[in-house]
Amino acid sequence: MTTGEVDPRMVWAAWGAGALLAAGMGLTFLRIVVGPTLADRVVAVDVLATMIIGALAVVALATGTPLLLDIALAIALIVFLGTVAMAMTIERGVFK
Amino acid sequence: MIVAAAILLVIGAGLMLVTGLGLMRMPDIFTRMHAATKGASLGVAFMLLAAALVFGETGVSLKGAVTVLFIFLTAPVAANLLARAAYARKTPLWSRSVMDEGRGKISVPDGFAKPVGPRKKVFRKKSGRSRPRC
Repeated sequence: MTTGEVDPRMVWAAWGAGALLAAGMGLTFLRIVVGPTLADRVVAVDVLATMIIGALAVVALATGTPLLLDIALAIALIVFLGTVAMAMTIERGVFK
Repeated sequence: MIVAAAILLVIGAGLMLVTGLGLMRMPDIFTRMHAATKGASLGVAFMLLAAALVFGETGVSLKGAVTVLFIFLTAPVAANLLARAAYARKTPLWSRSVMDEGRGKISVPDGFAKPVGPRKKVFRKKSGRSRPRC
């Protein structure tokens, strides 16, 4: 797991993918801010976590660090629990 | 191989952008969920496939495959739970939607609090002993 040489074409692709990903993340943040109900915000946070996994893949490809994919796996494992807990909270009607 | 991985990476990021657009543009929460779950899982699958192609080690590819499998398993479950909860709590549908198949079928379970409206004030009875002040 060492940092290897990175092809410059891959770096350019990572810049482009990062720009697209940043635009998507901005729109998702906007939905978190304006979402009329709590469920909208929970959906947006779930999508944001998935986008963060994608961003980790981009950074791993741009720097040649496959160790970052471990963090991606950990985030994927944790976020599901949070979403299920928030769904139960919404169903209980504690918050609107 | 590098070029194929780069193309896959950009396709995945484009799917993420489409997901964000759908999340922002769709009219109600159920259609938004439809955009969010599918687009995000497919996008992350493309990106991790690109990573697996470039690194080419068994451990890294296996980690990516496990992550994709887990996301594909859990995203529909989470979306289903959230949609049920939102529907049971009477989140309004889109004004132009043509069907409401959950009417009368999905409601809040019995043990849960029914009213959603403004919370009533509760006056607590004063007990004899008061807590000593610090």
